[in-house]
Amino acid sequence: MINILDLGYGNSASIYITLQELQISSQIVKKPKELESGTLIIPGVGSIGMFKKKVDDGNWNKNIRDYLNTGNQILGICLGFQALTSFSEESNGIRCINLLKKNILTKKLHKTSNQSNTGWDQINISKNYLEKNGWIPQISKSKKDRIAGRVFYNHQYGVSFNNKSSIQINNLPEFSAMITQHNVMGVQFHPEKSQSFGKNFFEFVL
Amino acid sequence: MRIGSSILLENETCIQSYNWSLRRPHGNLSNIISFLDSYEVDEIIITRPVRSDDNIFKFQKDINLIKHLKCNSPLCFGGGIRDMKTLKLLSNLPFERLNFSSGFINMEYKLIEKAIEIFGSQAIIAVLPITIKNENIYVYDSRKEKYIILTNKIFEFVQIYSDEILIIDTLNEGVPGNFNFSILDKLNSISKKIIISGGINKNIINKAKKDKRIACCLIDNRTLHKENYIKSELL
Repeated sequence: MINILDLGYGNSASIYITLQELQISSQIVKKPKELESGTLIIPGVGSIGMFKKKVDDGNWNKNIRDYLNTGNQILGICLGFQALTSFSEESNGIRCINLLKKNILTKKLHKTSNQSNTGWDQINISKNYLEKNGWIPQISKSKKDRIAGRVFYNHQYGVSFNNKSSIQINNLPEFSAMITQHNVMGVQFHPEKSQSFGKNFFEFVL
Repeated sequence: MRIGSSILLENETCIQSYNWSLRRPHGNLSNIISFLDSYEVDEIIITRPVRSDDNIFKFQKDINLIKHLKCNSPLCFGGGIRDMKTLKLLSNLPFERLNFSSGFINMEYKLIEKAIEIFGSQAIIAVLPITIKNENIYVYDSRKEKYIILTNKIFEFVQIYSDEILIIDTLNEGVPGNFNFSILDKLNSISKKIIISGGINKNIINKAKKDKRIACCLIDNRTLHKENYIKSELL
């Protein structure tokens, strides 16, 4: 089952609608007890300060860790990706859920301005990359060895990391477009808003 | 540079607008979104072109339409988000960004700061419906239903709090090919990325591509929706 976290704001509905179109079994979860085994998608529209408050209020922090430690997967999208790091510079500095290894930080994209990265960029994801980094698709609707296409970004902060588990944003190579570390995956782009490629992405990784 | 589409939503129906005054019915929102989504336009901005007579009931009705949209393209919504009550109604809807016009023009710090707190600063677009008269820049304040001078103070507020600025050439709205670039010349201190709308066509897009400040051109509904318009009428 694909569980989509609903913290009372954000865009969990967009993801749910996309997965319904793809006939991928999914549910929106508002409380930890509603979680079913499989994958938890942490959506991402908002600020990290508000996100963290909602996570704390809903007692999600421990429950997300427990969910991961019992063999399930986590997919963070945009802010949901940044929330998986150890610390974010946004909202005057916030300690995040810290599920990614190597003490990864979320930093402002541009030190001297608030300019966002809003728009489309190319990405290329191979099955080999997923396998090497320990991610096993649970539903596996896609038979492709590789997917490539354009993805939509809208963010002022990004996950500052670069190693073999990371695919970089083309125009911001200091920042990750995607990180895969065993059963934790995060993407900075919005697959639910990336049109045909976005649908390919969900079929490829879920 | 992105190329998107602008949609006007009034009383649960999409409309076409010309020169900021004449309006014609355009069609059903979900049909229009479905077409634009299948065209894979870079982004879609839905705006309620409301004036002083807007109220929470009208707002709620339009929001209910948006709630049920199936759209895999980037969506932005605005128009009538004037207080905390309306802002709170925007939870869990299928858009990533919000646009504010009178909130910026009237420098409503609390409203804009709350929107940033909830949606993040990357999500906030300031809408400036602009016209030039006697070499002065005027911006349309929809609450007062009149043009006012775009003061340095307002412009500074917009630049601090918005992620991108949508500039609508009101005089040339719905008149493809007529976007007035002198508006941008007059706003030469602009430090944010700009979205332009009103009178956009292929020639304007080609010209805009050369201006690094412009992040996006929004084709107003007349051009992009021609095909959809016919379809909507048949339905």
